[in-house]
Formats: sequence, C-alpha cells, structure tokens
Amino acid sequence: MNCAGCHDAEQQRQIEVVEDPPRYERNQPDFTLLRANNLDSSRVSTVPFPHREHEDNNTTCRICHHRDMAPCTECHTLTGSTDGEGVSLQRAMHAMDSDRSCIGCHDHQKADTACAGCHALMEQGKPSEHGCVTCHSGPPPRTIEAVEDRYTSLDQFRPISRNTRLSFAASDIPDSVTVGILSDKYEPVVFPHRQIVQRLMEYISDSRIATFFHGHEDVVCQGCHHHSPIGLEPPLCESCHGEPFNESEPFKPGLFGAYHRQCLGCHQSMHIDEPSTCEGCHAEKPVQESG
Amino acid sequence: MSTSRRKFLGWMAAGASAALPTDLTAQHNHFTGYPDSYGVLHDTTLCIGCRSCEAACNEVNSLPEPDVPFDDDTVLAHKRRPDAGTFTVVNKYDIEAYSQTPVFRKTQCNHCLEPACASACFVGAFTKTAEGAVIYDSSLCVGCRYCIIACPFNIPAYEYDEPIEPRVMKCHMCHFRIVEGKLPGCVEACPMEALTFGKRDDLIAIARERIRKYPSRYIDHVYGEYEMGGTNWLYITGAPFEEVDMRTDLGVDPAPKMTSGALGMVPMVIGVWPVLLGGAFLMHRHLDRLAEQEKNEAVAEAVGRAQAEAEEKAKRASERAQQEKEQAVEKALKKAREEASKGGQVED
Repeated sequence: MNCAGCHDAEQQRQIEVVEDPPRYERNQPDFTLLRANNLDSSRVSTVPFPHREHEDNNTTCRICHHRDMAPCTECHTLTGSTDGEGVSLQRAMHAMDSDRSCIGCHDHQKADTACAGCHALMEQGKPSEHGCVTCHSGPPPRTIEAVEDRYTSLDQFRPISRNTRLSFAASDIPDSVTVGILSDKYEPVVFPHRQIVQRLMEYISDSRIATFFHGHEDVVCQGCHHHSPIGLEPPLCESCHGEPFNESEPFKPGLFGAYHRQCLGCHQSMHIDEPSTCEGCHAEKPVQESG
Repeated sequence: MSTSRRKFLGWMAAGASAALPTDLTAQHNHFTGYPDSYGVLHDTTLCIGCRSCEAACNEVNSLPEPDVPFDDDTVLAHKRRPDAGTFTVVNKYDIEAYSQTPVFRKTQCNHCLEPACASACFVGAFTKTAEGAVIYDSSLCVGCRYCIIACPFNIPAYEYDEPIEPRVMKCHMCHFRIVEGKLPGCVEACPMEALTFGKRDDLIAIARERIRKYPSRYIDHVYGEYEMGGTNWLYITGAPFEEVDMRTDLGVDPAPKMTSGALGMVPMVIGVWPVLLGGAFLMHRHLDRLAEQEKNEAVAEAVGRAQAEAEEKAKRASERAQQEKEQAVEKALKKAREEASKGGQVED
C-alpha cells in the first residue's frame, strides 16, 4: 500500500504535508510486556516492549500487524498454529529473513550508513547469543499476573540504564595509535584513535535503537576490537593477526589485510571517500641520500 | 572377378565403423586437479582498485615499464586486457544496481585444471604443474599461437614486436616463487587480501564460508570451481559475473574434452588407415589372383579336352586305317589262297 495507489503525483503535491502527524488512537498501549498466550508452557522471560516508540518509527501499523490488528500471540502460538500458518511465536519474533519479526527488522537497521561501518564487517543473520536478556528482561511468565497493570513505565524491567555512553573518560581513550608495519616503504601511520571513537559516538547518539542495543557498556569499542573482552587495554591486533594465509586458520586475514580491511571496509560502508590514495594514510618516506 | 568402386567403399565404411569407439565421452576421465595444488581466490567485494597487484607483477617478472605509472588510476576509465608486457590488469565496473561503490576485478590467467592452451599446443610448450600453475616453455614454442585462439578467457598474448624470438606471454602464477615457498607477487602486494593464496580446496571452503557469513554481499557461486572443468584461480563477487565481464557461457566441460573426440581419431587415422588400405589392397589382389587362376584352369581344361578329342579322333582314324589295311591284306591273302588252290587241282 502506498500513496500513489490512490493519489497520482500531481495530487500528492497538492496535499499539505502534516509535519507532526497525530497518533492513531486505537486503544493501543504505550508499552506492554510481550508474552506467550499460554503462560503455563512459556518459560522465557517476557519482553518489555515500548509500543509507542515503534509507532513513531514506522509509517504504518501493518509493518508488524501484517494481517489484522490482533496481538501477535493470537495466531503465533508457542508451537505454531493453523491461523499463524505454522509460524511459531519464537520464529515470528526472531526470523532474520523477515521484515515483520523483531530481529529481522532490527537487523535491517544496521545497513544505515551510521551503523554499517561496524556492522557490515560482522557476520550477517547471526543474532548475538549473549543478547537474549537485552530484550527478555521482563518478569518471568509465571509471575506476570502479580505485576500486570501495576507498572507505569518499562524502566523497572530494564536493570541496565540503556544509554550508549562511554564509561571511559575521554582521557582514557588513546588519542592516537601509531602503526608502523609498512615503515620500510612509508612513514608510520598515526591513527587518530580518539577522534574516530568520538565521531562514531556522535553518529549513533541520536539513535534510540543504537543507544538501547549497544547498552551502557563500551560495546562500540568492539566494532574494531572484536572477538575479545571489552576493556581499557584490549589485545593488540597482532596478537591474533599475523602472517597471511595460515592453513590452520584459513578464515582469518593476516595483519596487513586485517588493518586495510577494517579501515577501508568501514570507510566504504560509511561512504567516507577519503583517503583515496595510499598517501592519504601512509605519508611517503623521504628518499634517503645515499653515502 | 574384379572389385568395383562401390564394393571398395562398402568395405571401408564397415572397417571404419568397427574401429570407432562406441561412446567417445566415456573415454574422457575428467581431471579434478592435482591434490594439494595451489590457487588464488579473488574476492571482488574487497578489491579497491589500487593496482598494487599490477605493480608487483611487473616488478617480480621484470616486465617493461608501463606507459602510465601504476599509481595513476585514470587508466581504470577504460577496459584493459593483459598483453605481451602485462600479465594482469584490474578493471573498474560501475554497477549501480549491485554496488554503490565501483566494483574492481583483476584479470589474469585462470590456470585451468585442464588448460585449453596446453591441449592446443602440439609441441607441449605448456605444462600444468602439480603446484597448480600453467607454465610456458619458450624454447619449445614454434609460434603457431594456437594457444591464443584456444584460450576461452583470452589470456595468452604474443610478442608481435619481438622480431627474433617472440614469445607467448601470460601469468604463470609466479610458479618460480611458489616452488621457493614465496607468494605470487600480486597476492603478496594486495593490501586488502582481496587475493587469497592457498590450496584450491581450502580456497573453495573459504569462498563458501564468506558467502555463508555475508549472504547479501555475494552472489552464491564460486567462479572457477567448475567453469571449463575448473580453474585454480577462483572468484567471488557481489554483482553477477557477466556484469564484471566474466563469461558465464563456458559450461563445465574442460576444453580438452571438447576436442578429445575429434583428436582421438588422429591415432586411428595414422595407425589404422595404412592397415585398412593395405588390407583392402591385398584382398583386392587376392580376389584378382583367384579369378586369374580360375581362368587359367578353365583354359587348361578346354585345351586338354580338345587335345584328348583330337587324339581320340586320330586314334580312331589310325585304328580304322589299320583295320582297313588288315582287311585289305586279309582279302589279298584270301584271293591268293583261292588262286593257288585252283592251279593245284589243274596240275593234279
């Protein structure tokens, strides 16, 4: 369904654009606890769901309520039903290949230029195994009746204050990192580390989805400092990346490739055109006078 | 009895069909590559078109200095192909439907598992090495350039401006470096590891793993795994292969398989034809000889018969003459005896 289905382009131009459209009032909740309709069989903790925020970020209810306006659990039962075309609740919420599911839709948001710098380098279609509790932070299904209708916001169900903020002081973030693996041909690269961290934080600080899912921890650091614990002193790149084409680790790039893939991969994904030549990063080494 | 032209051709056809193998394709066993042979995987989604590979190739192979320096990317504005002084080139493709940034693809010899060039070369100047590289020996080359025509990827080039000893020029996967345990020049220079060097089987696994991890980034196909029977240089891309000038009409049969049927006839022609023709000749001669013999026998018989008849006739004539003679003698004797008896009676 789109505007052009009824109004041609000329008509559309004549319609005044409502800057701040009012909310559709259908007695929908501002927030709710998502749970299965069969609480006895359900084990996983409920999901505090900010319904209103999702309304604000979508143009139509049909993005999620794809067939009718009924709650998801009416058709999508724990094990699937005929009404839900056999799609279980688990799948309805987690299918990566669907725009209607929570995770499928959220996964698409990662393609945004502000996000793609880090996310394009990460494996696609793979939700974090440790991230369940980020969403499933509500009361367990068997105690839900005790809290039903007694909460006034979702904050109490979110033990972590979800706001992407670096817990490190700016002074703790190294200002620059010098990389000299090509110093036989070029001057060492002075990598503006702190500036890049701050720029990344700027890009995402206005995004509700980014601030929520990155949490309060310094997850953003893991965009580059991947596959290792978060901390002020993450492992050096060369701890893992060494000589290329190691037969025992065929999927891991060598150090030379890892640097370039991460730097240039991020720049490409974020549509940062510079640097366009080697010298953009690698200052040419002055020719040494012989003798 | 003599042999007619029709009979002769009939024998030839019968002989040829008996000598032909019933199923030519069953004869060809597809070569799936030397075990543990090396190759290179080119991932165009990683290539940034820096031309470091071209520069490194030029250096390690001591090729002539290019007209435009390697750090000048204006050459990417038009499509290039390898030539006598360039083993590899990178081309740029603007394919907005598939990629917001330009796609770069490197071109060089694909090092077929069963190379068309080697199968076309009648002096064996090309060798498929156990390391995977297809190498060329200019000391054997006679300059026929069949390899250039045979290559489905348009790779071998010829030193047309070399008047004394022109050579066929193409990438050799830096075979001389591989046997020393070094990387091919281009691979070593690639800053993005858009070129991965390794065993061909591992490269296919790496390619598949990348496609699995980034399904929206790649076309689900490893080019070179099966094309032309398989190649040691492999490719994965984000855009359809034809969009980056890679042939998708080649099929999965190696080049030698397409010609082995016809070329398989050559030994037959060389070996079987003399036997066949000789046999036909001998048979022809044998039949002629038989006919001659028959004729001679008939003549001999006829002559014999005539002789016998004549002898019989002569015998009969002489017998009759003898008889007549005896009768005449008998008659004369009888007459004399009668006269003698008549005279005696008178005297008595």
